[in-house]
Amino acid sequence: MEQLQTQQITGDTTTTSMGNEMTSSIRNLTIISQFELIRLFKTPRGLMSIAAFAIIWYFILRYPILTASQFIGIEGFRESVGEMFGQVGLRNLLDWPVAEFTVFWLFSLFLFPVFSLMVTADQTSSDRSRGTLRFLTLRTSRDSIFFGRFFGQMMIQTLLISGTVAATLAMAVYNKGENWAEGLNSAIIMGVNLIIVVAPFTAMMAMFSATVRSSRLAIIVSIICWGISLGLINYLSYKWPFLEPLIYIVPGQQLPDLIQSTGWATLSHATLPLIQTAAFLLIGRTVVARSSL
Amino acid sequence: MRNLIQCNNLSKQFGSKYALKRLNFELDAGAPIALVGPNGAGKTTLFSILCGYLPPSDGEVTIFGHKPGSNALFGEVAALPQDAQLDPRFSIAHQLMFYAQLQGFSKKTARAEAQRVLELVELSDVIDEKPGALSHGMRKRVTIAQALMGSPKLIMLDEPTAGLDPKNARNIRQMVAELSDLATFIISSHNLQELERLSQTVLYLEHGQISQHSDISSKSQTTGFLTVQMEVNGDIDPTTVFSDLVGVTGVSNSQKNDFVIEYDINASDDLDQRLLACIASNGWNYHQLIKGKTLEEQLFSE
Repeated sequence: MEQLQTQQITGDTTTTSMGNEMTSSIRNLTIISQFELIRLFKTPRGLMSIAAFAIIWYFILRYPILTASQFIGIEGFRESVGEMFGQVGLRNLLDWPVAEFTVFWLFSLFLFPVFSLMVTADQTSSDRSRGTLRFLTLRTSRDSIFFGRFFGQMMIQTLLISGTVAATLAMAVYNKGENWAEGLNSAIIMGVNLIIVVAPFTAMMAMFSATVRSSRLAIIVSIICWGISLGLINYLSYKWPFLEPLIYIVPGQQLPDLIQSTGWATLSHATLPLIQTAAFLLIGRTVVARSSL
Repeated sequence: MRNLIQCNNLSKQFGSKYALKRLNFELDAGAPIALVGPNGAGKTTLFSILCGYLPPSDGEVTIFGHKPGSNALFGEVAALPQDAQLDPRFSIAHQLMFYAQLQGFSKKTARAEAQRVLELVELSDVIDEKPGALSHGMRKRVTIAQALMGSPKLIMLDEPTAGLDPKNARNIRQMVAELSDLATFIISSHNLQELERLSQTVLYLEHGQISQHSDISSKSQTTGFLTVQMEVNGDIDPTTVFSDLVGVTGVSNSQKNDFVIEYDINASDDLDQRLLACIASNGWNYHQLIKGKTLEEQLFSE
């Protein structure tokens, strides 16, 4: 029988010999986040999720976005739509130079947070329930697992957001080839914004996933907490107006402002979601560090 | 000998109930250690604390001088946790390679390491299967395999042979015996015969406390024991017959067909031979003669 001897490879292939805990943690965080990509692209369930996502977005692009963009392109119709949008505070939507992206922006700002809530719910919950986390915590820190899973989910969503943005751009270029440079600029701006938009939702699900033992429960708890927080904060701030800023702990608060912004000015609304992301990650990390496995 | 585990006033409470109550013990690295106790005695809780899965409510515990779960112990401490399962969505290879990479193996060498540990549990042919395709016993052996990855110095196995068929249970015992020069094993099991074969030191937990901490091989200076397992036929009482042998100071019939003979070591160094002659002359059919007490006798005779 082979001996249980050290086969941990020396030199460039191993980090344990480096004796550097930080390097080892970052290395493991990278391995864990890459494993999330494998979970999406190399498992039947992951591939089915991608297929469902692609089909949904095909229909969104093919019908609402394509059709609406064609109408928006008609000058007279554009003016009347502008007036209608103006009445509901969405007039700036038409400032986006490419009609396809105007409609994409409207859909994606509300669809991606919901999508994020659904697909990122199982960051650690089922692993905790199954006991797989016990195998992992003997090999790497809880921080590496928690943050590795979060970054993995962000990588996945970045890929999916990039895919939808690229598909919208391709459609816009196909329809009106001369707008490709403006379209590309809008695509980059919207892509960056959408990644920032989903970040606090992903972090919130990382936090809830760390507290419950199934993804379904994490979704239910997050919806309940989200609803209760909104209701409670609205009630409290009505009673005591100085409590109004509490509303900023609820993710997605910047969305109404964001939808009225265009161009790189949209990034002026990035501070709140980034702070929310950091706060949720900090709470989630603390929960993970103290929880029993 | 290197200090393995140091436990000072370790307690763990769930609500108002103590799962572990002020445990104090020290263990050195070396031969396998048995953790024994009835259901609910706190064995799994102790394992979970040692693995860093549960924080203690009170007291301190260190492994190789470090707190359980600390970075310094990654790769040094391995375990087969009770009830932990592999992810059903990924192949065995994928998961073991993932674990190996977290332990510092490169992608290339991780596959070889996965293959190596599966060979140790005689499952190298299932490397590309998913856990769902394996039987309960095979899945258990795969989870034992993950505990052997790299070069851990302490391997904790919670009920490693529970649910395994006799042949595979024997293979696991054999593997533990062969690897015990390279790592210290702590094994929790209800199979006392198994622990007797493997272990040198026994921790007996009862009601969350250590009621015995003994060395199986330790010998008294004056008193020795022989245990004989035999079928008794006829009316003659073996207890009386054995008591009459020179040097015997006591005989107990702990279980049906099991006789524990206590004797004065200095007065009777050939008692085993005289005992066998006595058994033969009475026409009894013995199965086993053990020098010393069985682990079961040691733990439960008083």
